Amino acid sequence: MGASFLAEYEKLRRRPAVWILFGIWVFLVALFAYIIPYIIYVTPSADTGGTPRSVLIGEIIPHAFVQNVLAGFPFFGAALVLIGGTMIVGSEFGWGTLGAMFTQRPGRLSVLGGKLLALASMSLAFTVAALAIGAIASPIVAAAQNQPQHWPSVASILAGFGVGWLILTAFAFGGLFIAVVFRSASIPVGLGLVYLLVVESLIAGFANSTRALFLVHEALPGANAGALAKSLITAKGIDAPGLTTMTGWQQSLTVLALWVVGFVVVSAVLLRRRDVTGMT
Amino acid sequence: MDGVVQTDRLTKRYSATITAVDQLDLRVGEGEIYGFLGPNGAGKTTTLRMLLGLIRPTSGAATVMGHRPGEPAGLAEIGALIETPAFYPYLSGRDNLKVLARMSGTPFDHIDRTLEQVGLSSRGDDKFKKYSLGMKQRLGVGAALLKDPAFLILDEPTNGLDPQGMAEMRALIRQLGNEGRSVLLSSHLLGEIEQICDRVGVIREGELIAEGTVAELQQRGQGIVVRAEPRARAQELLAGLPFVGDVRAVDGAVRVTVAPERAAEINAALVGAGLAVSELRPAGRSLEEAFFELTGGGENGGRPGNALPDEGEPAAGDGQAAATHVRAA
Repeated sequence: MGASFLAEYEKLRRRPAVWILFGIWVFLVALFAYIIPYIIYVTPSADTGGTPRSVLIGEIIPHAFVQNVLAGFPFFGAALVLIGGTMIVGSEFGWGTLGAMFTQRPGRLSVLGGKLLALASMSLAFTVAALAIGAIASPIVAAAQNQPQHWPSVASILAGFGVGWLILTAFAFGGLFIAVVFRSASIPVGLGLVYLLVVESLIAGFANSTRALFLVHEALPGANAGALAKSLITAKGIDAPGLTTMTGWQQSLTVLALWVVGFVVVSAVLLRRRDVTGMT
Repeated sequence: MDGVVQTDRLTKRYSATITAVDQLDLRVGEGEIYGFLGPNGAGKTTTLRMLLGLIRPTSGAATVMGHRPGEPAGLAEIGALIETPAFYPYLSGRDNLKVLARMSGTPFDHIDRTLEQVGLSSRGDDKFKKYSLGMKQRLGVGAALLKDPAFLILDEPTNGLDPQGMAEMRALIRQLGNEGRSVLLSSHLLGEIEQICDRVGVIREGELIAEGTVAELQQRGQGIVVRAEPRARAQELLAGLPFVGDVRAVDGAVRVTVAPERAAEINAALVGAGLAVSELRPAGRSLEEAFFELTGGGENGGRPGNALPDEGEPAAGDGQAAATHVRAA
């Protein structure tokens, strides 16, 4: 497993597409968590949508930095790592390299294990980068606007870090799962994004119509990721697409963890059992 | 089980009507260079993939280097190039080999040696996507050699190489055999197989239809060449002889499948019928002729370059191997 992970890490680290995703993530976090709210705050004529300016500034100062960046995780964070997840396996089908990997010393499950660890590492890097943006940008905002430099507790930072990492890892594994099912990269990327950005939103819109739809909504990975992130957001005014309120963080954590396990198990069964044709 | 490869009624069936490999019994000995021949779609690549554990057999069994296909212990001793070389386009040739070395636990110092072995030392740092077809093929062979394996499975290793590159590759494979490594070589190029391989197996429609040394295959269906006028009459007369097998018109002469010691009887029959016999000699066969006869490819004739016809590309009807069956043996 260690050898597979190091090989996957090497491939991921040197792949331009991964750095493009990472750059987009950093840009979006900075833009939506700090740059746009700050511009609105310092522009007297800007429409705040009814949000008081005191609440606006409260979102972007150090006290709320974990909550502020976490709001982007269930939506565009999930979408970006899902693309990464589909790429790590889907491209191998396209290039025919999966067969080459399977005919080296490690077995198929070891290759999969290496890919999962590499994706978890990618998600870790995305999580750390987002928190770092908050940790850097928020004191600058506070200093510029004479706001207090109060920081959240270590426990809050760790909770935000853990939840963020779990959300991104779940969707990265989800991307890998779809790529394994379809044995390609392009279709899974499209399907994954349509599901995450359209299907989940539509189901959420009808969730209160019937009991059955409510239960379906409560079982979806996106909804539970949004609910888990939302459970940590207590500062006024912080909201983003994908954030939702559900029964409780314990349930969301459990359901999301079950999705992770499901993605891994089904991917492992398919990769282990299926013939590898085209190639290699 | 003996040998680096041993299969026992190995079968791959994709559906009730499609059987890619049918009860294949194949044996590759230690230190042997074994040529695996067959037309496109005959089941060669499916067999090779089964030996590597990439495709699961429907029934039957196989051992490779004493292990079941796909077992890590066996894979550690096998280097393989199947069909087209597959690498990460955004990595250099050297970095691609580095990834494979990490996966297989191969020391990194093998990388430079391998690049040199396949003639890519000066281009090792170029991105794979910038490689020519021949360079990609060289890297594919390099990847197979990287582990310093005891057994190599090479599927069309000279694809895309220029004549000099092909000669170098043949020399390399021969050298690997001389070093005591076993090689299972699948190729369309019959001349290549003839020059390199110790033994040859011919597969058609998933079945192994012939196996032996090149000389043994060439001797199968031995016969004589007869040049007599009028040829059509000679062909007809020969086809009627009870001790004669296959009779074909080949390049203005008639090729008869018969024991060479019956040449005098054939001559007597032709002369007795009033035909003018200008030539009567034992027929020497190339591997290509033997191959076409074994696989039924002779009906379509051979084609220049001593290569097998590609799938979807009918072979030319002229050329050395052009022949007409008069009677099945």
